[in-house]
Amino acid sequence: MSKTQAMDSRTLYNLSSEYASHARKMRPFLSSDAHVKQYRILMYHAVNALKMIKAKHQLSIEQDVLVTLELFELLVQETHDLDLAEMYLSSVHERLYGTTLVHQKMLVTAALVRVARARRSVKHSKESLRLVTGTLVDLEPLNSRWNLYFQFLRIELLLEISPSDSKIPGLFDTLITDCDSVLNLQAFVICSYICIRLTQNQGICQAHLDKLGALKSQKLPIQLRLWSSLVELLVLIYRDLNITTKLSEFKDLVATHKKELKDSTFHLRLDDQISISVDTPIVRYKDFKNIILLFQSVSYLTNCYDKKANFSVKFLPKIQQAANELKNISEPVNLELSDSRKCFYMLIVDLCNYYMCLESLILTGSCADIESDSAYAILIKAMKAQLRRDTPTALENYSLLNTQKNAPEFKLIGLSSMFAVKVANMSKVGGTVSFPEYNEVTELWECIEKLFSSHSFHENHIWQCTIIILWLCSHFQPFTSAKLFKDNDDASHLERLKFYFSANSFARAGKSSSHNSATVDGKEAAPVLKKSLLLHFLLNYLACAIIVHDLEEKCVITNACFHLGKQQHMPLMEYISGLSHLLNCGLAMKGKDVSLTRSKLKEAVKKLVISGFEQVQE
Amino acid sequence: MTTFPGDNTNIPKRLTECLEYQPLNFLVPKSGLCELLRSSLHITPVPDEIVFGEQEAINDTDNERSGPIEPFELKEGLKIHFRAIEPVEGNGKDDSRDLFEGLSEGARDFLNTACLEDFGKRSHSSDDEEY
Repeated sequence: MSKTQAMDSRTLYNLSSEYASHARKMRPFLSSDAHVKQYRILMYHAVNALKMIKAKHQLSIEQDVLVTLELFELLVQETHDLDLAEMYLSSVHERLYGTTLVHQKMLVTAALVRVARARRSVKHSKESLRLVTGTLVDLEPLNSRWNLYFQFLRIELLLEISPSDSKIPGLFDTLITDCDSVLNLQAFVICSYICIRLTQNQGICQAHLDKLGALKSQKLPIQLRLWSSLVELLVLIYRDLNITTKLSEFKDLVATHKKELKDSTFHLRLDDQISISVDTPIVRYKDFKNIILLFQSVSYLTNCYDKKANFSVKFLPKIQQAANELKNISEPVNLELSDSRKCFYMLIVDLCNYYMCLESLILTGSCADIESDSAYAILIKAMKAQLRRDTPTALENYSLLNTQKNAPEFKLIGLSSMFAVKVANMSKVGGTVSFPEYNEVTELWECIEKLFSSHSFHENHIWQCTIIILWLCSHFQPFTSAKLFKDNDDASHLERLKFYFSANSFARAGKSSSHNSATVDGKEAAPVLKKSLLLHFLLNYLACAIIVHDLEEKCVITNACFHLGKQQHMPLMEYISGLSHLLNCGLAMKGKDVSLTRSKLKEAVKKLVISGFEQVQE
Repeated sequence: MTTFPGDNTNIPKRLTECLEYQPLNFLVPKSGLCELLRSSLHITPVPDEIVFGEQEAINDTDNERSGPIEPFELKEGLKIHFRAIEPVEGNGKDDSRDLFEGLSEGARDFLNTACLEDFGKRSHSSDDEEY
């Protein structure tokens, strides 16, 4: 008989805690295999001490639950032994059957769901969903706030099983209402709701957004306020709206609370008994400052050509470097969390890489090669192929974006780009398009309209304007030699073109730059579109040809197009706007401008010939 | 205008034709940012009761005693499959550090440093992470 058998349960319990916390404290110092072994010896003892308590001592149910939950935590965090964790939980779950210990039952049920989710399979998620649904039925007569947590868990599991399940928005509405008495949780649930809707490019209920805004003025934990503000910022970024006001809100928040933002964990207390821990590195100041720079960089990415406001050019490399450094530092946390941190920093590094590539394609027309099959990588490959005039590869990659697993925004980018390339191709070969080819293009347009109208893209003016531009490009004679058949929606598209042009004309730059999208006299005021040279170019080029009749104004616009075209890599746009300008100057009898433009055009042509365009024999 | 620069080349002259070689670079995807926010989150209910606290009466029925502590016996152990750990790079001066330093006396006494080897020998698995 060993003397350890006689060791009391409290001593063993305290020993286990000591081993586990000591091991975590040592996590940053594991610099050799011998250290890793020592770490594992410690964790082994932490697990084993708990196991011995269970095997050798008669424990009250409450004690058994606590020991089992500790054991489960260690196994899930440090090992791959999910079966063992589940076995321990199931047996204590059985022991609780028939008792009135609701709190303990719920803790164990939540733990069982966590083990199942750690297995990452739809089968296990479905089993968990049944468990959670049953638990919610059990909770119904009890008036316990555990009900709120399990409602949330049900939504998360449904999302894992079928992300676009039509029940989800309704379940969120109910949960948000049910949380009226627990404001912390309510704010958190609204944030989750918004993130999920954004991921799916689905519209967000304005009442929920307003509620979140109101909640933030209440006494929420500072981490939760930061989190809420980040989610609100994301909404603005998704809608391509101006973020400067929001940014100043962060400035104030961080200035007053910077010192409190050291811990990645905060708690949502549902009542005296129930406490939910939330962990994310983003609420720590040292991580937050990188995230906010990344968000700004993405929001200002299309601005990169502007030397005075090229935020992304300056900051993306810095954010990437910081993430690389943080990735290599081990924190004193459990292995599950330290693995998750590593993934977090890797994702930042990857995103910086993708956005730097997109930026480089805007500015120079080329970028480094990317080895990855993420949607971002495929998009970059497609754009690169397009720029080097490899149309088949471009089309192949754009069509790859239109697969189920990708976010709707990637699908729509893929479809729109394919449409543009195919319409361009049709125009190139003139009237000799075969019927199947023509059909393919019109079907592509139907897909675009369907995806557009079934998602939240209409909340974004950049997207709305893009659709108008693509429609005009493919339906109007001067822009294509193979125009598509028009129903009667000419007028509405032209109206929308006028609408956007009214606030974004190159001819009145500076005059109307202050107002954002708002209503004036009941009519929607035209928004100043986010700076993006190509979009503004296309808008002005089209409007100049269709809407503007004043020759002087036309000259101003084509002149601006011709000169702005040089600021980023779009040599063909530069060329055609040069042609228009030459024509307009000719009509306006500006002899001096004609000869100047002609000589500049000659240079542009020379460059294009060097890049691969050829003389044609007529 | 009879002739114009580039008119005898295959450079596209119509706006739409230019789009074959000009990506719509103002359509910037944002999904990654949302993924970053969502994937970093860990949400778990935490048990906050102290059932082994100092004040708590110990209701074990067997004869309680708290020491002296001896290393636990291996036959009482279990087989554990640890997650992979990458050693931290760099600082070679820390290599000699003893990570058991700082443990309480009781914890040191109870420690059986052979626990992993013994299970390694008994195991017939080829899994490197297995002990």
